[in-house]
Amino acid sequence: MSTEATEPQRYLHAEIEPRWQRYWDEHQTFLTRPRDLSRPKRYVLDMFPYPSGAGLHVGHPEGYTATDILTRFWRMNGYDVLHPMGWDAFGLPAEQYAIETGTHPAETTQKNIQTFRRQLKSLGFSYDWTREVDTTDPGYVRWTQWIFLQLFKKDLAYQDRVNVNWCPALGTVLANEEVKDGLSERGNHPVFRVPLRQWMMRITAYGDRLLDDLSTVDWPNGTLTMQRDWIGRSEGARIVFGIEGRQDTFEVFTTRPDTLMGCTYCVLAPEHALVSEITTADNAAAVEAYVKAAAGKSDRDRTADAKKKTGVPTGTFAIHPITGAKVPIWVADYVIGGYGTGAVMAVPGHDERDFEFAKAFDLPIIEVVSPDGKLHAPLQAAFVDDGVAVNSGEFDGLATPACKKAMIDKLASLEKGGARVTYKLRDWVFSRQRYWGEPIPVYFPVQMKDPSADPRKGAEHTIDFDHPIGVDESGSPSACPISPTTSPETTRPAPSPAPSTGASSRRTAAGTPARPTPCLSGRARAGITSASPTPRTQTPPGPRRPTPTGCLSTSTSAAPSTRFSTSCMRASGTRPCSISAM
Amino acid sequence: MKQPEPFMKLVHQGMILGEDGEKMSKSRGNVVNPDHIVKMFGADALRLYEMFMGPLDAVKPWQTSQVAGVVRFRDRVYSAVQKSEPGLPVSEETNKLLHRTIKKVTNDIESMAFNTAISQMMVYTNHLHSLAAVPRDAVVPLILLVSPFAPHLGEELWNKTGHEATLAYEPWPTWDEALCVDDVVEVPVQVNGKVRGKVTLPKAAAESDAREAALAVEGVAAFTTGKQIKKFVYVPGKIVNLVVG
Repeated sequence: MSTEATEPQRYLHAEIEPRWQRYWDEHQTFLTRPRDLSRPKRYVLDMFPYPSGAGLHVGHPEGYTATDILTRFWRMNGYDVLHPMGWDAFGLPAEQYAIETGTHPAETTQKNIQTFRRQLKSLGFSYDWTREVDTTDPGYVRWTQWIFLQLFKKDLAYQDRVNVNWCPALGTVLANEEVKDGLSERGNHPVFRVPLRQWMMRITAYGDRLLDDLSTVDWPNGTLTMQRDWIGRSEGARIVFGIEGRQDTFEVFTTRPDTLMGCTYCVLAPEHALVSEITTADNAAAVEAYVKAAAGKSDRDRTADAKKKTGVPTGTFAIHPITGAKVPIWVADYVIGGYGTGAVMAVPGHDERDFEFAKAFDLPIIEVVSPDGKLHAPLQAAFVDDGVAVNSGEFDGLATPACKKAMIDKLASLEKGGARVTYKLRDWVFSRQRYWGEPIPVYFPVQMKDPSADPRKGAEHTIDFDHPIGVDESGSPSACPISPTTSPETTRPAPSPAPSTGASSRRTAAGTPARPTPCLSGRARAGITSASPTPRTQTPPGPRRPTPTGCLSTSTSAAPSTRFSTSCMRASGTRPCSISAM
Repeated sequence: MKQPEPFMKLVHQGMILGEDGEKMSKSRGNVVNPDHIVKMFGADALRLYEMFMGPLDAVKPWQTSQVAGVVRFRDRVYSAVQKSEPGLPVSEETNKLLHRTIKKVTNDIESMAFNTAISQMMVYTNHLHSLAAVPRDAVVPLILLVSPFAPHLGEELWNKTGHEATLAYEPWPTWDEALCVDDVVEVPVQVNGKVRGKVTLPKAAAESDAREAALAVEGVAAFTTGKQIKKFVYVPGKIVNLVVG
């Protein structure tokens, strides 16, 4: 040790730093110590990085250094600190790399993890590496699936047909942020709006709680505003419109029921189920072309350009719920199918978008709210503030809030609507058709004409999507994508009960031998990597491209008498879908 | 659960841009590889630099040329400790700065103001280098303070100052609040309601001393010379207020 003040040695980082990293490793310095209840505790958890092929970038150490400083600070202040690291390792890039090179994503992922681990260790972060987790590890997938099953049981995970951004070239559904001008951000491939059966998360069930609890947290103001806007709670009314010459009706939501008397037309989103049904023969070609064009635009593109309004008439009329007047029904893409009801009552006198649209297509504009109780026709712009009802028959003279209430009461008495709270928040499309992701642990019954045939080989079958069956928790993880270099037996951890109990004993335990059974055998797993039942010997396949309508199913030969067999359905594609977006 | 929300406090990390001020991307060729920085300057330098770039939540451009600043700080901590001598008394001035440094670094870590914590340690390190001889007792707390930011430097110096085990579980230094109180304060001087200057006064300065000092301030004198002072108000530690006519 040199304590002389003569010529101090320099700090030789290349020698000193690796030496201390070895010391920490050898002495297990950062092993989480056994919990001592007399000490305060802290859990410092970083967002797990996605182990990309590019390795760590300088943005990673920014947050990781900050949390490491806090961790080390709290340790020195006598806290018990849990500070682990892990890998959010399922994802599209490894899958794309597999398609390009034939290297299985499991191999790529492990190689990338090695690089990330080496890089993080070289920065001296004080992680307890004995607690490292890898989201692609079957032992971890088991718990991802467990969480999904809890949501499924509580009806918070469900299937629905929704419009998604489908990219055939990438073989996956893309988030709105991943689509730019109709092309995928990654690779510039065309993206189409198509309705697909998707797993959904019922986040809307938590709308009020999410909103109310924002008042309890210390978050940046910008974030709070974004959250409130995103949830977008609004109080208003639902209103039912009849359709001329038809039995069916459609529903709209409005925050301004007081303006109903000024409704001069209605608009359906191009995705609205009624569009094709109500369009008259004369208008069919124009409507069809319009709907097709809208399918190529993302929601963002459709709502971004506020001024330029497009639309086509269906030729059919709606019946005004109060006056019984006929108002034309148009199709326009400024109405988004997934928002609200996918239909709006248009009040051009008092809504800017409707005003622009009415001007563009020469539709009538009626003033029904006046700032001073006088009439101002013709209106030069939409009057969107509160005022006094005019041109509104029995509602004339009512101030906006009173008029809203009166209108809601009137609609309720006519059984044509009532009060309703809505949210801009929509249920979360959870499915991303991915090969390299956790299979959703839910099965669907498959109806077979010939029970001994194999639906995977094209035998005629129907999948009963209306009766999803959650995998028994003891059977999780079910069918993780596996590397062709590892056998299913070795990659699969021992669930409880042991895997050797097999499908048949689980079925017995359930006491209903005729019921469809999850397929959990090695053979079923093989069916996921490819149609071949011998994953061990096959060449690295590269994930197969799914089709939106395709499905992969595996029959259980154990019960030849059953009219059902089991489908290993990965969302709506032939691939497992990633729920790593969690 | 005690709290309905999973976390009560949220801090967004600001994006680190490339040297050109644009988002780092392969196509722009402005990506900085941490391996390269670690090799050239060391892990502690990378950690210190990223924490010193600015507030954690600010968007900031990477500048490799600026890494030299934290490398110098790291090396100056290293050399200050190397030349420190056991048994030397710590002067009152050094001790006060040390306690203020401990207080500021502690509070700044708790509020995630890591850049200002590093600044304060820089001030203290510079002070140590200005001394004719560096007392060992003045550097040992600095080793502990710097260790969460630069853990390799911390461990190395802890070892060099005669400690066997890791410093990872050493008690964090504490400060004496009495030593952190400023005994001089800068107070504004107002003439007829307008601030005309500032005067540095002992906290407990008497009114007569305050008056004398305030009138000596150049900017104040310009407005008071040759005039009658009609009113003089002195709020110790806060303000000096003059009404002239």
